[in-house]
Amino acid sequence: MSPTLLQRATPTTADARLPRLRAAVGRVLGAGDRLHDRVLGDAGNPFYHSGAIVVLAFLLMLATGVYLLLFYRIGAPYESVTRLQQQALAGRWLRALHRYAADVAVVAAVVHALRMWVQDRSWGPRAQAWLSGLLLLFLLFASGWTGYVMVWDAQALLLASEGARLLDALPIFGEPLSRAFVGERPLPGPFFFLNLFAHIAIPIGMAGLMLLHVARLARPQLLPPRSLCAGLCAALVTLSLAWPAPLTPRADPFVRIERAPLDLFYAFWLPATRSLDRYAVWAGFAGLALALVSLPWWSRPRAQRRREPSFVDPHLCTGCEQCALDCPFDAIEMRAVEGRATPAAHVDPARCVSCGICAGSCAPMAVGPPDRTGRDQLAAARAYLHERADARDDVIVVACTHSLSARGLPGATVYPVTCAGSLHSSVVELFVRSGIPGVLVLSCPPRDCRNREGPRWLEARLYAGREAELQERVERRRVRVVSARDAALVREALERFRADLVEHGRARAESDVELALECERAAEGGT
Amino acid sequence: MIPARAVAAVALCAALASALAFASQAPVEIEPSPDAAIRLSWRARGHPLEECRTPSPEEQAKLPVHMRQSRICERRLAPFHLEAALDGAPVIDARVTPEGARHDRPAYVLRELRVAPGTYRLSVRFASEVEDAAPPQALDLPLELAAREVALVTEDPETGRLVLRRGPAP
Repeated sequence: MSPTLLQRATPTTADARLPRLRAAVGRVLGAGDRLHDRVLGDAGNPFYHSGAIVVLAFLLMLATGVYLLLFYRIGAPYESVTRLQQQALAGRWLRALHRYAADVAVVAAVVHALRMWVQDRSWGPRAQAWLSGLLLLFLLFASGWTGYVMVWDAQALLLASEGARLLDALPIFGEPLSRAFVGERPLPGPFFFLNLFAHIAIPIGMAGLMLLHVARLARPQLLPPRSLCAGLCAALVTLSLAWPAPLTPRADPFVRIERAPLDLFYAFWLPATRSLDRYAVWAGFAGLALALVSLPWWSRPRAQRRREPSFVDPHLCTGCEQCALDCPFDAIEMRAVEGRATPAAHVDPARCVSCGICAGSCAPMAVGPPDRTGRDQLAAARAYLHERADARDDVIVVACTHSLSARGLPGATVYPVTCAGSLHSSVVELFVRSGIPGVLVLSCPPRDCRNREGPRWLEARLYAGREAELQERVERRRVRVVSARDAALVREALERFRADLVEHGRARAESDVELALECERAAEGGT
Repeated sequence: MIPARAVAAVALCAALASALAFASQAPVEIEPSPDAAIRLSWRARGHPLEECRTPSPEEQAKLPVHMRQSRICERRLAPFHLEAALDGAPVIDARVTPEGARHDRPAYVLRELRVAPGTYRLSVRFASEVEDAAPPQALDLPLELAAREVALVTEDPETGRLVLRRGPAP
């Protein structure tokens, strides 16, 4: 099968519905990716670690929240926060750090959700993660709301009274909640107790929900790399010291507030909803929630374009377990088979996202999605070499279609694959042995692989002898892996690889000449 | 990391952090107009009303024996009438019905009037629509409101009368 046919059999984002909206969001995210890749490198690109950054922010909030809780008084909320604000050594910047970490959590969660949608990772077996993620985001907003009300300053009164106004529209409460905030009587202590309880209980619930969010992942990466963790923490601490969180005047129901510093990450809806009818606001919220929940279903690829789950050929499976070990979604398990000594792999179609990683991990080529097993890959590569005899003169770029299209590498010979991690090492060997001077495998940045662990297993198979490894007989200098999405970086890496190959060829030619001279001398001496 | 890239990294981080801090405390205009406000907020339990009738034999026959009653009574609370005027000009003239599907829950008043800062004569009258119920509550007093000030008309829990509450003097 030619690469074109191979691509056709495996849909990409372009096959999904809402291609324009998806492409527009993808362009914005891509621009951010490229900027961060160039400046911070892909390991330090926070966009690639957005989900893990939410967890890091959560831990920062937990650590700072414990300290703040020690000084918080339910009976005198504003006074206790004022005292905290006066602690120049700890309270002031820890409060700011708590707040900025909460803001980072919202930004990272939204970026994470957008990435998952743009990358078509939100439906099918991933629907559980999408829905639980939305619920986590809602709980994050709810927890933030309670956190801001705790302070009981001007912003808190705005949030509380507007929240009460909206809740009063629902036929839940016997008495309008809004009356509590008009100044008829001082707010009772139980209000602040319940608010504090919710502020602690909601994050505990979120931690439990987080387990459900990552339940279908093997080896979930819950934290960013150490360098990024350290960088983010350092940046947030510096920001907290340099730009402390404000404390507006105490909540006063007898004054109409002209201006207030609002945290737009949590109170972005406030300026808009205050002037709207509360039923219209609820209708807007409900519509938005419905759209977000259902988004993956009405924007996923049409049924005939969806990828089919992997299958196992039991006659070829040797029971080595490598596919089960490598599967990023825990979709493969080994099962005993009657009449044979070794177990055989079994794919759970409800968990399989058809990433094809198993195809790359199976040395005997027994497992993989239809049309993308190791055998199918070899057949497609042979057909390609047969059709493109001219392709043997230059380096071939085996490129993940999600990483970079052929348009990004004009003049280069590009052989597209659906995921570099699903590439069987035999294909690389075939290219090298066919006379192609070098094989450059282009993968997505490791933490931005749509199939989670493609680049990781690819490198392990090509360079570290992981099962389904590239055979030792293949000259490693002629094979290189580049993980990048930025076209300029890839072009640069390609030019460097070409130059290295030329240098290597020259050195080898010289060594061949030297060897020949030595042989001649030896022959002359012998005679 | 080459120095130029390090500088770019620091600049990028500083820009992102500044954007985060700004959006985290962005000054937002909440109430642009300098108007003052008069809020009316209290709770009142209306006069109980009961309408009873004797069910017809046909009605009784349709019901199981244990559900038959000699008299069927519907209980609800009487609505109120709320009037408010500023300098004699009516600004509120509304019926306040008790809450609940059967109108058997207390009635709540929660209104806000936006007015320009200045001096007014405020009159509020809140009376049951049933004549022999409790006497109407009324408030009539001069009121000087500063810009953005909120005055609250509410019920004094001890005397049960309408009173005016204001925040501490600025």
